[in-house]
Amino acid sequence: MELFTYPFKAMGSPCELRLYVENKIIAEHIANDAIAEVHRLEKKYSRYREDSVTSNINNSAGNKSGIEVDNETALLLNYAQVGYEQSMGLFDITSGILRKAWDFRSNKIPKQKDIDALLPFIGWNKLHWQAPLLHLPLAGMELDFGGYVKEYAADVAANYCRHAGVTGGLVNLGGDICVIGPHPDASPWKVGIRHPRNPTVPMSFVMLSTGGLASSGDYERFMMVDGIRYAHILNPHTGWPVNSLASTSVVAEQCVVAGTSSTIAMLKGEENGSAWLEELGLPYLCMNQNEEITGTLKRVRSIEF
Amino acid sequence: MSKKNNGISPALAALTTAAMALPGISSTVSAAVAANEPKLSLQISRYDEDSIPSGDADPNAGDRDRYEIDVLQVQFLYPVNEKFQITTGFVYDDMSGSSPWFVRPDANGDPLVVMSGATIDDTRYDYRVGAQYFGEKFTISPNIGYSKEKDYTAVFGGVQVDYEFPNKATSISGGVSVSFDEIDPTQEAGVVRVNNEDKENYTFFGTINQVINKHTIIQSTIGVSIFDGFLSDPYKQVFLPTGNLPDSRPDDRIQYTWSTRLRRYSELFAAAFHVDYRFYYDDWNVRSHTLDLGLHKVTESGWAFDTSIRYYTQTQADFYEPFYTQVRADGEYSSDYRLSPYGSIALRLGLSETIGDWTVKLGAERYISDKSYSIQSVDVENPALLDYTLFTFGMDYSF
Amino acid sequence: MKSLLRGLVVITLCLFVFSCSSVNPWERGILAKPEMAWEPDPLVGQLQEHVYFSKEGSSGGYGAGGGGCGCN
Repeated sequence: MELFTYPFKAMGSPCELRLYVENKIIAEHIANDAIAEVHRLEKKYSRYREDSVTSNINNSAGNKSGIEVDNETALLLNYAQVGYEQSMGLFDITSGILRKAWDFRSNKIPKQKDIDALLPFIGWNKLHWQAPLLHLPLAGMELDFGGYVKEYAADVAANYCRHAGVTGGLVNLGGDICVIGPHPDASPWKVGIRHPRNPTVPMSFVMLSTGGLASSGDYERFMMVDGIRYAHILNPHTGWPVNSLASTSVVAEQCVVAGTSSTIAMLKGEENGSAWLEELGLPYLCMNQNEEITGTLKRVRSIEF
Repeated sequence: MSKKNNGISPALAALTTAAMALPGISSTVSAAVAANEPKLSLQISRYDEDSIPSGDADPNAGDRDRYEIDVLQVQFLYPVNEKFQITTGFVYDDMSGSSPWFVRPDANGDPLVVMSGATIDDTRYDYRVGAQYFGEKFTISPNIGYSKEKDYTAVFGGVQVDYEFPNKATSISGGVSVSFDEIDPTQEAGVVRVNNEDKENYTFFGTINQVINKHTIIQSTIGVSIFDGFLSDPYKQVFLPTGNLPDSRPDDRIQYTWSTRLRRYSELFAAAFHVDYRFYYDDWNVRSHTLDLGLHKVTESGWAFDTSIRYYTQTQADFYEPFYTQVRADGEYSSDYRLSPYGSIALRLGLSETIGDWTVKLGAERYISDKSYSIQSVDVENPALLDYTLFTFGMDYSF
Repeated sequence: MKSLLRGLVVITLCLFVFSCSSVNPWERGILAKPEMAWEPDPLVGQLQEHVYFSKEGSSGGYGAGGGGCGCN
């Protein structure tokens, strides 16, 4: 068994595939196919592509007959619905439209009336979803799968590799990680978690031999206005950023569940977020605005990766 | 994964359930899924039986050269969608040679085989169509087929249902197959043969597959097969001092089998060990044991190599004799070596290489039978026991 | 004979006992390797099965078979 590493770019992030495989030919074959799966999902759910499922759905908004979606999309919509229900409406894939008001590169806080103008278009409960038929009743409504497709893609790529017979390896899509399996000696992977205030130094390491790890933070898109940090963690009810934790990392059996849980925890804020993760029983790690780390996820102090 | 002692939280359970439903997450490796690509497989083979040794054959009758068969097999697998696939197969056999006719004692009372006079030339065409439907809980696989020779026609079909338990570690299968065969022997001047006869076969089986650990899987099958109709060989006779009689067997036969197969992967050898065992018993009192040990390895450069040894041993049918010295009250006679007590050993080698969409395969088998391989003590060995060599050359192409 | 068969049935059913061993999905990769297949090469398997079926006194065992032949 030899370790092969394949860096690539997808979903706007640096990504990496690590595989323990007998030889290079097999490794390349598997890596190519797994990476192709990630690119397939990126293409399929990209907001920027005219021919993507997301664009087709969004173009159908206001259309009386609705739109029929494929099986994979249907199951992703079902997942979004569960996330919406379990988070009391905080995890909402209709809230992406808020980016029209919040331009984090402008360093300007939007006017309340601009936010108010968008709120009628937000709300998963306004959709009519009866698989395979999806109906966005208001022209202008938008779905954004960006909140969980990357994590889902990590699961898919990892699962693909397992199918291909890989028993040890790791999929890393811009920090969202899904373990294919532990090292050949059954030891876990040492995975670094990004420091929300210093991208070059990991805030800690965790050991992972199975499952997925996903992080959300206020560092991905934000602006500082008058000394106050406004991050892209937007509450779909108010349209305003949540004054919350700096970052949350969660480990779950599936990367997509880890990602949704960390997103919801961020949206719930510092106190409620941790409490919610405790309730889920998932190992987690949070850093608050004072750079204090809390959580149940066991950390390893080491700089070697 | 750390979970609360009081179980999983409802929110996590809901999210996990929704995530597990997602394609690409839901499918586990043990679950049956349709193949991704259409695949065409071709194989040509030469099956060559050793001639009867001169000391064992009647020097005045027949040709000692036994069967030689050239075989062409074609199989096409077509996945219609992710839940449904179709397999069609075709086999063409071109046979020639002589076959054992009957066994008579020589002056010392030792058996001599008398071969059929003329060389037999025949062809066999076999067509099959099967489908597999991978449902939510069950996989259903029906199939039908038709086989035609100059003197023999068979129509057969069956269905198998597989169910995987939610733990994904256990699956069970059950199935039934039927065959309706008709034999219309080639007539020969001066030889009394039946004219037109038929037989039916019904087979039932149940299988359990179990994942033992991450290196080991085991499968066990129990089967019953019922034959009804003309089960004799119209081209064979038996020797009696008062004159030869046609091969004449009971008109029903019930066979029971219990088979277990084990696959274990060895990290040390980077290869899979195969152990197959079958116990067989029928109401003609034939009992047999088959043990097949194999090693399958896929090497670093994409070559695949396999080797196996098969040991087979059977007891004789109640009514079998190499030749008869007196008339039997039940009128049942057969001197067919296939109903005699014997054992056999087969050695196999296979080699293949996959380059891109192509796989090229070579295989060889050597099979030898002997009375000394039998678990039964054998007084008189049937002189027509079979030895053969089989060579195969195959190619697969995935579209 | 009957008792032997009954014994075999019991052994088969005992396989269920192994069900307690849980192998996680990410540990199943090895079991999915082609060399671990019950029948690694279907055409070779089909041919051998046919030869043994027509040249030996016993047959069957691994599921459903095809039709007979006039092989002698």
